[in-house]
Amino acid sequence: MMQRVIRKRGLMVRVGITWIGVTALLAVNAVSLAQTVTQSQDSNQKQVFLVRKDTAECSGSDVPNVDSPLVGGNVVVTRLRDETTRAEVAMTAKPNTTYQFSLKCVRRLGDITTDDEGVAIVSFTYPTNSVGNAYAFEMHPEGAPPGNRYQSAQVAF
Amino acid sequence: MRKTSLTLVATSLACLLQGAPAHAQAFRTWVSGVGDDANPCSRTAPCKTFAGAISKTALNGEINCLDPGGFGAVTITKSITIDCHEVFASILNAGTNGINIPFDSFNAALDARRTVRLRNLIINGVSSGLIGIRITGGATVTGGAVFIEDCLIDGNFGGSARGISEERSGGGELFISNTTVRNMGQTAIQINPIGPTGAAVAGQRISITVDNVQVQNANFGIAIGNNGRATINRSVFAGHTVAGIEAEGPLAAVEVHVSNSLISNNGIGVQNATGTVTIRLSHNEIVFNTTAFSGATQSFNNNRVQGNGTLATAPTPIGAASGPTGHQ
Repeated sequence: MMQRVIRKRGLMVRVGITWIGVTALLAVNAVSLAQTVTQSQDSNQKQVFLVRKDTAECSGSDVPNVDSPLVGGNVVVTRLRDETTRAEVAMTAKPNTTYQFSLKCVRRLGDITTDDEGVAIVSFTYPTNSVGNAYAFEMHPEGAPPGNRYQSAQVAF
Repeated sequence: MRKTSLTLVATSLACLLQGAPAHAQAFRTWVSGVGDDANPCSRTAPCKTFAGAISKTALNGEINCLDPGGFGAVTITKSITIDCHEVFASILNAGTNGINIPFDSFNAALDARRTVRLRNLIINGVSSGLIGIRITGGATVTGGAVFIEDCLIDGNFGGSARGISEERSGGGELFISNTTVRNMGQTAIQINPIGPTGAAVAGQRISITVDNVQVQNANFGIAIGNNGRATINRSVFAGHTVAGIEAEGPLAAVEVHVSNSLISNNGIGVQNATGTVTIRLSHNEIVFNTTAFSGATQSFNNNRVQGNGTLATAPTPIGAASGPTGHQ
């Protein structure tokens, strides 16, 4: 009797494990297909490219957020719980150059200076209510010489 | 007399102008960690970056590295070799792609070879890079070959977050050998033709040869899409959250042949995700994956499949063991 119960339990456990395995497999399959198509994102986080472009609309609506050889950097924008927003800028541009980084048509956030390989990674924080739900960034060196200006695609929450 | 002199002057000027481009670009140029892009990129006056050197390098020419350094991201628009063997040669690509190869920007009339060779480069996205090497084109210029040898591509977690992205829709060849691609936020090596609107398209045949390549720690190790035909040999696909090797052909058939490779510690070892896909497996070690196989695969009856969480869909044997198409 004891042996039968144990066997029965063993079978149940085995069947249970099989179902868990099948469910997990289906879940993983669904995830894999989804991730192949798009990258999942936190709704409080957006990622926009900094594109080499001399002019753009204040909201960045005319800047394509697509990868191209004109992309010089990437901004990850995160709305934080303390009602501030953090913009993490990672870029590769002209070496040893200071760029003025701004909330386009709103205000300057600060400077970014590239190293001798043209790389800079900098974070800025600003009050979330200082911008609307759709805005953009702009970046250029002193004097904003043509060909050295970068516009971000639209950040839209 | 005066007319003759004028003719002579005009002829001389024409000869000089014709000769000018040959002098402007050298077949071999040099970069150095202490170079300057204002230089002619000669051995005695090297440039500082690949981007600075490429405009001074002739079609089918070669850029070499004089000494160790970081030589910056570059966009390649002609047949060229960048070879820094025996020298530490790095590209840091924070927030950008390391190397762009847009074949549509090649001059189809002048550039018959359409061949790019990259050798001994370390491309590091420092955690924010987008794609290590991005290959695009096919709308106006088709075909072309890219050789990636002895390279290390690491740390792309921004945007598409890939190591190597082959997106040509007009066909071509991609050869990757003796290379490591690791630590990617999405896919270490992705082969999928992309149309002008950014969506995947059926595209033309892309032939991929992967030999002795270590692919580690991404969501997908290698993902092969529509019209890709990949031969993978002596390679390692380990530590990928979703799948080590994934193929999907919703728009055009995909064929993958994997031999003598290690596929371990992945969510799924080998995944046939969707569409028309043929995956053949020979002499591989498929171990310690959560799930060994997902979707149909074929086996030459000589793989070692052990220690996986579940086997799931067992591979279909290719012919009888003694048959002409089977394990011989």
